[in-house]
Amino acid sequence: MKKNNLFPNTVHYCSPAHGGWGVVRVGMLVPESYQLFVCPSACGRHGALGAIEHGNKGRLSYLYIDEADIVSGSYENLILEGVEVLLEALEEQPKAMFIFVSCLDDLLGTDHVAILDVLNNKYPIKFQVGHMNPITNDSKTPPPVTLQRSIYELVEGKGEKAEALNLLGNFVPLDENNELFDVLSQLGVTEVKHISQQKTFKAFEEMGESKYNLVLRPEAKVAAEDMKRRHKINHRFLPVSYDMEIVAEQYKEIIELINKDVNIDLTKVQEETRAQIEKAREVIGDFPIVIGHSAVCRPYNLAKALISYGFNVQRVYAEEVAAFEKESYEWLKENAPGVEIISATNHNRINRVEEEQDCIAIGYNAAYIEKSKHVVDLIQDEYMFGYNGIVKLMEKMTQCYLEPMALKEMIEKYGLVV
Amino acid sequence: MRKLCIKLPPFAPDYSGVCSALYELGGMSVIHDASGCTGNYTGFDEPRWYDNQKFVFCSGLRELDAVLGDDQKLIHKVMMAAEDLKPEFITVLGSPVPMIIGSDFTGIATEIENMTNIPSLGFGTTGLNYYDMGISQAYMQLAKRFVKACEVKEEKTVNILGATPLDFSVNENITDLIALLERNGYKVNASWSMHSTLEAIKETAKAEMNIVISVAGLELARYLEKHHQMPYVVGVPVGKSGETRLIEALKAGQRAANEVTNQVEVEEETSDTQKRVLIIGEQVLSNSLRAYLKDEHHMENVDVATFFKLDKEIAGQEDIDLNSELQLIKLLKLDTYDVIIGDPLFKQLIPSYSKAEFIGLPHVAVSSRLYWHNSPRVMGEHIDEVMKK
Repeated sequence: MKKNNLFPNTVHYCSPAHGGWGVVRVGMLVPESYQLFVCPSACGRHGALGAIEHGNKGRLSYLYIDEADIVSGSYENLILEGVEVLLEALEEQPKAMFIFVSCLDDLLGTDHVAILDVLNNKYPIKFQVGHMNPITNDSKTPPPVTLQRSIYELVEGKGEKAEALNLLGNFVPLDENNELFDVLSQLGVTEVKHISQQKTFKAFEEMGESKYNLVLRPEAKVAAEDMKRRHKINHRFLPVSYDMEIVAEQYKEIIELINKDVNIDLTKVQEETRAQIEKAREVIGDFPIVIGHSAVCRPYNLAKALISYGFNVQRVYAEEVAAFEKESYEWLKENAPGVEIISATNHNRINRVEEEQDCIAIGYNAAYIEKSKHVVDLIQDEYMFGYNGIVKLMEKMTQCYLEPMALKEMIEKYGLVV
Repeated sequence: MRKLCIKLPPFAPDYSGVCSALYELGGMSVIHDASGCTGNYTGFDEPRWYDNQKFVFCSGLRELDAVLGDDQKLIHKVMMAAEDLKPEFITVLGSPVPMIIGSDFTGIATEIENMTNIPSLGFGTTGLNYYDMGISQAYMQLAKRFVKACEVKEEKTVNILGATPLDFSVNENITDLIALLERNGYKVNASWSMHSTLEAIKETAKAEMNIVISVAGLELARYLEKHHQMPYVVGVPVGKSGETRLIEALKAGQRAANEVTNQVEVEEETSDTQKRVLIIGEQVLSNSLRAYLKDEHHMENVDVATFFKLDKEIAGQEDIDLNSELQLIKLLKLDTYDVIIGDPLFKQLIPSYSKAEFIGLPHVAVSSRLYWHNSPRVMGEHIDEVMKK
């Protein structure tokens, strides 16, 4: 691995392929909920336009604050007044309402608890505060983390339903053919719940009755710890991996969590996965591969896995080395000295390569920087997990290798939001 | 409640205006924010960003830096990037958090300039104002800093003031305007600020006249008139009549192109001519559209309403300064207009009982990338296509 000062503290480059679901879209996963952003008008522009693109604007409004509101201290009263007018204007009353505040609020010291108390006492609606405050991105609780916590603080229950399990952190449900469902069924878990599949707010609230949580993305780890305290829901942190060995370990953890006395044979699915890997490798051969951190939560681990499968990984675009990635990062350093680790947001990224690069780019961000037409269209692991996730990735890599796509159209269609 | 915005998205903010105005001039802009403000600009207010990237960055402001008021970190980061990228000038600009902590961007820019020897500009943008104010601020600083004095004007040479994709998108609008001027024997000296360079901007005062095509260019026009003795014309050549009007105004050295009456034979009054029209949009383009409707469609009852700056000097008596979504909803509820022209996102505010006809005219500062690929050409006869639709 080529060594340099990996992530120098410089101005950030914001690529057109940067972003993902954004705070608004993730919060919209709560069924029958509404969002009111209380912030300077500018703070809401990307979220509102993203919401129009994704058909969510009907559940999103803004209450603009200005200098006078901040200086006069009438900000809190403004929220109460704004909610009243908004609810009068809405044709359908929501079951829950997020009051989102922005970076400013971190410096103002607004008493959210008092505001929530007033609102929750006044209306038959569950109010919750959300934070869209990237100013805390370097803290342990950046917005994606606090948002997951805010979402799952809304659930009710005692975590006693042994046949029910929640999947947290991923934004779309797993592929229905994922072997995880079969494994869970053998363990006696017949209800696997994902937030996006809850049709009503009540059904969503009932996620608090499940006995188990599997955390598939790091953003939801704090929420799961919180649910353990509040609802006694046991969890395991199993960030999505495409590494056969790690996946095997993750299944051991799941079995240990639910019923260690059950013997589950995964040999068949493991063999099928190995066959799919081999098939993809035969097609793709030594064609270069670059990995971007916008696609997966474990870019170093993915690089390690692909190298161990025989693929030609050349670069990883990332922003940091998360604690759960340290081992894979060290492995790359030791065993793959030719793989470049590059900051995706360093100012020098603005000088893109002149020519299109012949490579498979996993994720839009890497694809944009490399001007690649072979793009694995994956954002934040989406529906991936386990052996099925590896198979899906192999299919996507093979498909994009054989059928190049126009990146710009893919990005526009996806509607990325910062 | 004027601050509540239920249906519409927030519009392009002031920092987007500054960045947009400076985009093609070879500088480096750094927005002092955490992430979302720069994302607003690059993702939603800058149609040139995907294919033609210029040096625009986010400072990566973090809570501790804000609390401690640590400007040195920002300065250091800007210097690191400037050393590698060698911009012609540097711009640092604010967002809501720096507003709260009282960051002094003029001071920060001065310090950067002293340390890098690269001309640096500072803008106390806040995200509370709209893009037109940002463009205007950028123009004024550029003019005061860079425009050279020139006593002898080049005959039949003009500047364009107020050209940014936030008002005119990235289609052929500005090249259509330049072509029109060239066809009529005028040379475009500096276009503020599309299809131009910093060098051309510096030579602005060489031109005989300025053409203001958006309200964001007005303050600059007045400054150049006062300090560089340059008269100006306000108006966009919308329709064939608009082209004639602009060229005639340039010949006459008249200020308001819209005041030049076209000698069009007025037809008998028809149901169309009696229609009441409301144009919701940027003031200068809307004024020009009104003149076009009067000249070519004989519509006399046309009002302009804008969420952005309404300059009194060029406003009609009945024109409306909109300050909230609610105000526009109330206006449309009166159902007094037969035709409403504006960004497609405004259509949803027309009450269901209204029979008003809506003509969509996408405005990047409102609907961003939702329509910027379909932004219509408005110069000359191209506008007829929009009206036909």
